[in-house]
Amino acid sequence: MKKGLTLLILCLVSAALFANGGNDSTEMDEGGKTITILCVTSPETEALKVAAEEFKKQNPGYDVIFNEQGRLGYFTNVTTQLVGGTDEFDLIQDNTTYMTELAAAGVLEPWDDYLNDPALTDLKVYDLDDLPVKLTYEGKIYCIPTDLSSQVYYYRKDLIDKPAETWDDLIANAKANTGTEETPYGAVVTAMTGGPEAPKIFYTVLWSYGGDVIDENGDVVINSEAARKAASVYRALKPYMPEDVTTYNYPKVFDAMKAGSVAQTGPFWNAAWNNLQKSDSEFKDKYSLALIPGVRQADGTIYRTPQTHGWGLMMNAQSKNKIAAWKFLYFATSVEGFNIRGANGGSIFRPSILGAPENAGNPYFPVMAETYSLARMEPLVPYYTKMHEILNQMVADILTTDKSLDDIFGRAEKDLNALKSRY
Amino acid sequence: METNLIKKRQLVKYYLILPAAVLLIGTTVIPILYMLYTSLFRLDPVVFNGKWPFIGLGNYLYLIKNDPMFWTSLARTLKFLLYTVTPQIAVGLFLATLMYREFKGKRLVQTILLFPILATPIIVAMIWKYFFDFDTGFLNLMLKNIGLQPQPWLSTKGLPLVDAIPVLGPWLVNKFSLTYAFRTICFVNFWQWTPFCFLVLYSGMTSLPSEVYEASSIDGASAWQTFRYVTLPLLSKLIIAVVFIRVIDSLKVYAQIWVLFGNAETTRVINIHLYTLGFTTSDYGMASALGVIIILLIAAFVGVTIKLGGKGNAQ
Repeated sequence: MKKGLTLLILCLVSAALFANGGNDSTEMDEGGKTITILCVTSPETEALKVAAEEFKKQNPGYDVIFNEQGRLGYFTNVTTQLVGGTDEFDLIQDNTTYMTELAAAGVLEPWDDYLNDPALTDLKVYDLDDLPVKLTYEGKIYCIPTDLSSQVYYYRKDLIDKPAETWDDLIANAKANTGTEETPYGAVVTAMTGGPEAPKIFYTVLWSYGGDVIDENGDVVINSEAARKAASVYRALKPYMPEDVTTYNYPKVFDAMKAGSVAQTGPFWNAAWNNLQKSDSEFKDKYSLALIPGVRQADGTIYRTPQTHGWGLMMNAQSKNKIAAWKFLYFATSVEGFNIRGANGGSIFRPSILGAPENAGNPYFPVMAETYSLARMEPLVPYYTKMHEILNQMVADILTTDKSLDDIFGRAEKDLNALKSRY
Repeated sequence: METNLIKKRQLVKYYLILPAAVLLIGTTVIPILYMLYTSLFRLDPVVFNGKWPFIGLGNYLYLIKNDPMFWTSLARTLKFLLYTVTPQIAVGLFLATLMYREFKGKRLVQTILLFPILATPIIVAMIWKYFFDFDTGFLNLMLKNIGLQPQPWLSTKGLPLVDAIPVLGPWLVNKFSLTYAFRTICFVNFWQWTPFCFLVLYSGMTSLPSEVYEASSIDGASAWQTFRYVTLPLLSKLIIAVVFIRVIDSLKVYAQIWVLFGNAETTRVINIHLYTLGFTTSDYGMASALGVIIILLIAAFVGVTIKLGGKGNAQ
């Protein structure tokens, strides 16, 4: 009995040591050739699947499995699985804004070693300079998005002769087109709080006045004159927007466009353009798009700062198939990968493709090329989602209360500092 | 030998409740204890480095001192409780009194009255959401058809009659959540759960002894006196039971508000804040702490209600 027990313990200890040793040795091992991706059901994923088929054709023996889940609870699931140390997935599709939290938790594999290994990456072909957005944390790249989303300005070209260039133009156009026979609303923005949309739109206005929420030193700078100016734009637009504007999220603003009931919307997501063109709306040809409005500078130029974020594939630090996973990441974000995904519903943001002569006829491409050249990302801080809670409250207060802007931004500053002190 | 047999027989009752007890402990007691335990740690993926730091009461203190939504959502929950349970009981009692009399078509009216409680709260909220839509909602279409202005039912705008009061109006709107959105939430809950109050109270009324009514009739009591001095005291235990159920249910409200407004800060109650902490910002330790606070809150309400019930009985 005792002998048996000793033998069992020895076996278990050996197995544990073997397993541990195995983990260490797989750091840059070839690993398997089956790549498993945890992803969300979306048009971007469908485009990625088409790219995966081409990848498999070009790399015989490799397989790409998509473990697709619904959007509800997806982000929580991603975080929980990764922090829990799963090795079930090699790549994780996630919103780029969550990258920092995951990188800070040490559950993502940085890309630098793979990018700098000539055996794995041909940097000349890959052309990092043609990828304007690289997500870094503590100096290391953790993700290059597969899809980007930014904001443009949509307007009814049959009603508005001159698209708004500044926020003042936007307000003036809104005033002229509210309560008319054609459009009950002169403008609308996505202001539904509780999610990420309202803060992202507010950033765009705030940045254009030279303000920010967190500066490059990590200090909270929301309580500023620029923030008060941005909030004043919101309050000036309020009479020309739907009274229940705080219930307007992307689908609801898009529905208003489809119904032709809004004269202009912006900043609003670029995805709406393709969605509108594909829709059966009788107003789809009545809308046009342009760069988002901004603030006129002393030299007459307009300072525009569209916010951008995206979807990307991130590598699980616990993956057992890192080399294979990198091969697919490399392919999916290459020029070829972008072209395949772009033709199948994915979003293109490589300037070389957006500016290609064959795309010049479509108004979307030049606007997006310029938008991405101006675009900024939100501060990639580890407390990103918690920060949104405070920013949402701030936007809600601006739009739904008569509180003074000093009070609103003073409170936001206090809350942000309290939050920041925890990290 | 006989003593052993008796002892064994006595043990049988424990064996019989064992499966249910294990199930209850496994699904309720252990998770609550685990929640209490996790509320003492910094369960935040960002600071995860192989282990979760122990922070004692840190999560509780942060919630109370620094979380901007904690007090707001707690106050809103209590207002929701007040604005929904009070009219539900009052109208439920009124309907029960009406239905206690015989009239033609009574059964049909009773059946119609019970429809709302048969529907799932999520479906109810979704239907009302479409009804309340400013541009395409049925209610505003009806208002337009009769020449009235459409109303922003889903907006956080103050109710016009209150908002129009000089100086005091905006303060009242803010302090008492007198907004369209919050009224809408309360209305949807009222619409669905008033029939429940009616059903329970009506069942109670039908089981009251007829002798006391005959006696009060002989004594020449008016309808109001009969209600005030006979029906109400006899129903008091049942009313407290209904209040008890509705209070707990209202403190748990989630689905209806979620469907109508998601986790928007302007309409967020404590349970939606709990969800947000746990599943949006992934701060599991903080969510556990809030979970413990909610349990304590419910326990306090239950305690007060039971105490009130006890007093009522004594009287």
